[in-house]
Amino acid sequence: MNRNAILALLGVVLLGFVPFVMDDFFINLTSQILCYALFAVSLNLIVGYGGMTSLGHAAYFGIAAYGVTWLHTVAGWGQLSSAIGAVAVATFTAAVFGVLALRASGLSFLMITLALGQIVWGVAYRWVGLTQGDNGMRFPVRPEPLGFNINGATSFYYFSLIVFVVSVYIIWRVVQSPFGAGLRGTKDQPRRMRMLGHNVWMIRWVAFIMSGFWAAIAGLLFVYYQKFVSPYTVSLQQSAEVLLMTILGGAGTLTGPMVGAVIVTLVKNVASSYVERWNALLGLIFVLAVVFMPTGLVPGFRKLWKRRTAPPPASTPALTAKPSTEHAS
Amino acid sequence: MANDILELSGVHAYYGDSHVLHGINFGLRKGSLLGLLGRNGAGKTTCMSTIMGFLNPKQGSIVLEGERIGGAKPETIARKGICLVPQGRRIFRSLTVKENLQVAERRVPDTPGAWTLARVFEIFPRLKERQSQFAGSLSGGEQQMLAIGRALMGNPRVLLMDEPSEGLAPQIVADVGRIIAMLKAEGLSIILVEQNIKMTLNLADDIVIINTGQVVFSGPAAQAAADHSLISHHLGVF
Repeated sequence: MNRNAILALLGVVLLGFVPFVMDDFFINLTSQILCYALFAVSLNLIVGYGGMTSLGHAAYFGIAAYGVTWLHTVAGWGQLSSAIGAVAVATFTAAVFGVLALRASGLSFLMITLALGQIVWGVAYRWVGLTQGDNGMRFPVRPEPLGFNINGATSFYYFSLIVFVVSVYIIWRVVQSPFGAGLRGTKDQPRRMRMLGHNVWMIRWVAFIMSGFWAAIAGLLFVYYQKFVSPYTVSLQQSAEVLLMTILGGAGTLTGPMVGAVIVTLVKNVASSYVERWNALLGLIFVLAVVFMPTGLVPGFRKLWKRRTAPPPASTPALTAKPSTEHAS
Repeated sequence: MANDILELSGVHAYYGDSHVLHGINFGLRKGSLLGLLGRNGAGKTTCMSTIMGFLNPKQGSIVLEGERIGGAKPETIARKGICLVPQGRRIFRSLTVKENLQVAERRVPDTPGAWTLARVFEIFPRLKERQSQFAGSLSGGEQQMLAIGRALMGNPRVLLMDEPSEGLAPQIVADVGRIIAMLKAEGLSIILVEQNIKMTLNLADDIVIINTGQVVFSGPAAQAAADHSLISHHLGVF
């Protein structure tokens, strides 16, 4: 077992002990962090590995949240079928939005995703008959997966942890697979990828759909946690926050978005109790990170760690040989 | 010609309004090495880009073993077995050495002697040693080996090499020359674009010299090597 696998296992074990050392408030907060961490990891698939910065990712998160609520409470579907249906709708939306957004790249791609995200927000806010508009929709009761009651803070936390670990493991396997290498290749040099026989558009589209799928899973966790969904869930602020989490922690690394999710969620929920202008605090953290660690906190600290632990450089040999004194006399 | 694996006939190509290739004609014999020479800006790399499909020929045809490929998409052409070692190497810096090779893999079932990861590592043991390292951390020579290995992983029917010796130390250039000679001995059909005229004349079976987008010489390498006035007139040096 390599060092990273041991660290990951240790991290999961430590997370398993959270309910033993924290009260319900912090257990719930950690559940929320796990949900946002999965959301950020899903976005990282396209931002960090695919080089496609999106400002509309909350759409898939929110569609899944609205979808499961509507299917369960309005259409009367069961918990499992509502969840599957909601994820399917959100993933299909990602597939359609991907076709539209991938007509462009760079800033234009960003603006198209922003516009598409705003359409979803507009539907959530204005189509009162479907979404109850600004009042939002209540999700009455959490599901009982395999008969387990997850209404308590601790039981829901373990449910979130299992979903999070399984999802992140699958995402990690995808990133390490030949498809993942291809995705990173399209970020690095799309022209060369075409030259190697790859359909760059198709790779990006599949990554976009996958990203939407995992955002939908995070959206399910969110609505099960909050038992409520409102237009804020699909808002531009939500999309911007998850992008902030990804970039702050370090896009293109698996743990970076998780670290970003921890910081942003803590500032929003804890620091906001002490600091009135917590948004400014979040902005300050982001500015400092960009100035001192432009690639994000995880790659930045990794670089610092390597610098501190690197062996001192060997003395540089002289470029020219010293003049010999043996035959001087 | 009948035994040409790749044939360009009257190919005209443009960058916008700028007419770059003026009716290029040449053929690559199967299993041979064709050296494509010319001064800077003569149109050699444009020729490679046109064969690879990055530039559409406005007129003329490009035929791969009887199949017209001119104007096809680069990924389609690559899948048909034309692989390029690009100028400046252009490896994927954020991928590991192994991933760089894996991402280029094109399996050709039931083909004896097909290129696999193991076989590439066999001829480039240095890459095997560094397979888990990020490609961006390799030296220039190692990056060139990786670029060649990556092209081989596509199991090419035709290998295009665009200035593989550019920017390398003389010792590494000699290594690159040996590898090209070995690939030629294996029966691979190669087009070698080079500024290193001596190396090209030594390795090539045939030579094509391009000047201002036109073919000014096409014939056996020995004939080109013997004609000093031809070389000095069109390439400036010998």
